[in-house]
Amino acid sequence: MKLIIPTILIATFASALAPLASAQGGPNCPNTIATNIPAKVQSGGPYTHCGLGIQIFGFPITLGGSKCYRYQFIYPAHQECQGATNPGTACINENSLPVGLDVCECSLLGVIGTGISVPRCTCKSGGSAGTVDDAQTITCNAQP
Amino acid sequence: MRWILACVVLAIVALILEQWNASRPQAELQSARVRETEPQRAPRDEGLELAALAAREELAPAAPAADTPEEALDLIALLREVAVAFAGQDAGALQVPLQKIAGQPARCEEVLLLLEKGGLRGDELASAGSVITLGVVVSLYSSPQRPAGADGHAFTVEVLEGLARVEPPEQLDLAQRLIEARVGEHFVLDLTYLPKILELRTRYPEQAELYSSLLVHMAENLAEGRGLEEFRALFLTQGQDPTAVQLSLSALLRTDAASWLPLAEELFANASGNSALRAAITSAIATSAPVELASSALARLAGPSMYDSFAVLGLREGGCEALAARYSELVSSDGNPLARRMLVSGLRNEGEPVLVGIAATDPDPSVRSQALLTSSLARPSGPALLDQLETLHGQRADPAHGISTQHAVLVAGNVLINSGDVERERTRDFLLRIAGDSSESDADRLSALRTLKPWMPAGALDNWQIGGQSVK
Repeated sequence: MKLIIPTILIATFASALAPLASAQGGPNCPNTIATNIPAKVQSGGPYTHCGLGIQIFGFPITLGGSKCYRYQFIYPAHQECQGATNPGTACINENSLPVGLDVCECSLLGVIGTGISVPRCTCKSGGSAGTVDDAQTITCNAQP
Repeated sequence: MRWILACVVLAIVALILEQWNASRPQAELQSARVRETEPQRAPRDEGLELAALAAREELAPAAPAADTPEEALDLIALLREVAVAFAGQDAGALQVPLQKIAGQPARCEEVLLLLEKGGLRGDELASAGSVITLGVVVSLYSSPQRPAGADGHAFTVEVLEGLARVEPPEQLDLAQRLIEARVGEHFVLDLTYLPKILELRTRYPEQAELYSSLLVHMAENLAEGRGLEEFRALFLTQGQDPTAVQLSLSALLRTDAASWLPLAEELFANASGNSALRAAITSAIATSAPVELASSALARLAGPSMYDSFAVLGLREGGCEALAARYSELVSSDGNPLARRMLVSGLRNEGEPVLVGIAATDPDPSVRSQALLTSSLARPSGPALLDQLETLHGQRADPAHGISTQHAVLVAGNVLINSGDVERERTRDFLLRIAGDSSESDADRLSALRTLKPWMPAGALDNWQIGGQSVK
């Protein structure tokens, strides 16, 4: 009985370490992990203000709304291999995701039930401007 | 015994009455008085007005101009009128309340105080009206037509100082109004406000980016002795504030790109993992460095999250030619395919034949796909592009000559959105062929069907099943 318990403990400890040693991956494992990149919308190109001109005490003033950029690039949330480290894993580029382009302009939108129209920057899809690579993290011993 | 009982009952009644009086809100009484003077107001408005009144009472020592509740209500009603007239794009209706407020500088200060101290909280119309009013007043008071007693510089400084205490979303709106405030062609926030804005950036470090954004127009007209030194310091000391970096770097690149580009590239290299800062740097280069230098620098820094920067550079005068020249240099030396891809993404002013030619000849599949995406983006495509698309997709098994189905589907999606009926019909057939081709991956076949779906009659794709998944 005195021998059985230490034997079980050693076996348990060794079996717990075994996958770790394997996951460390040896000399070919880069020990990297994919980094999350949040989605973002980036505006570009010329812009206008969706507003109107008035005169106060004879002084002309343009009352604009917020900037309405001609183009909006929509980057999807994705993962990139930026060199972040993690023992036993590898970051690989797996797929690519489209970067959308919206083309925008000022237009008057009616507000339901009010009878008024509000100047708004409205955008419609112009299609895919390009792609970003989408990476993922795999365990080294799962590598082919 | 009867007397004792009567006394107890009286005492209880007196206690109840006292409690009832105490619990009656003072506001209700005030509201009743207000109702007498303005019987036409809706019940919901009263709550808002009372909240505003309560806040205004707190402000009374700082705003002596309008002391009575009626005047406060009048001001709030005027602010609402401004918002409604602006929303309705009714210039005539807008002038009346704006003139009533702008004609009295003390009332304008009161508007700012109400906004700063939360006196308009919950009243969206009055809040929106106050932001519009302050923007107009900043312009008007800085003009020769300002009313007697108005001091444009002092009022603008007051608004700048109050901005830190205004709550979102009005804070950003007010900042935008200040940025855009003009007298003729001259922006109100000129270099005379630079020391004050830099001081406020330091005083409110948590609002530094907001105050940085106010520097945008003064950054456009710098010279030695006129703010350049301050912008140099801003760039060199505020390296973690993307807005400050973008504005100051833009200003510096406009004056001396050769000296500042190496520093910008060094900052970019050190900003690994800080995508906002990297975007600020590439945006400054794309908008402000001379196009030749900008195209070379962006090619060196090229990353897949820079489509906007390359597009902006491509839209500048001579930008497209500069990008094309860099592309030619790189492709002739088989240089960096990612840089080539991004350079091609900026060639939106090139004609279809040039981009189709790049798609036919570039040695890298991602650049070939990008050339077709750029050509088909937000403009109609012709038969030559579709011919090239089908040819390249036909060679998809050979990465040295073809393009992947995934990219071909994206190009086809662009053609469907932007092209005429003939090209759209041909693209529909192309996508249906992919969807029906069992040699394609399930993911690509489903992607083709999902791209097609908005362009097909309702229910036409309902029976399609790919890999156990429906496009329905």
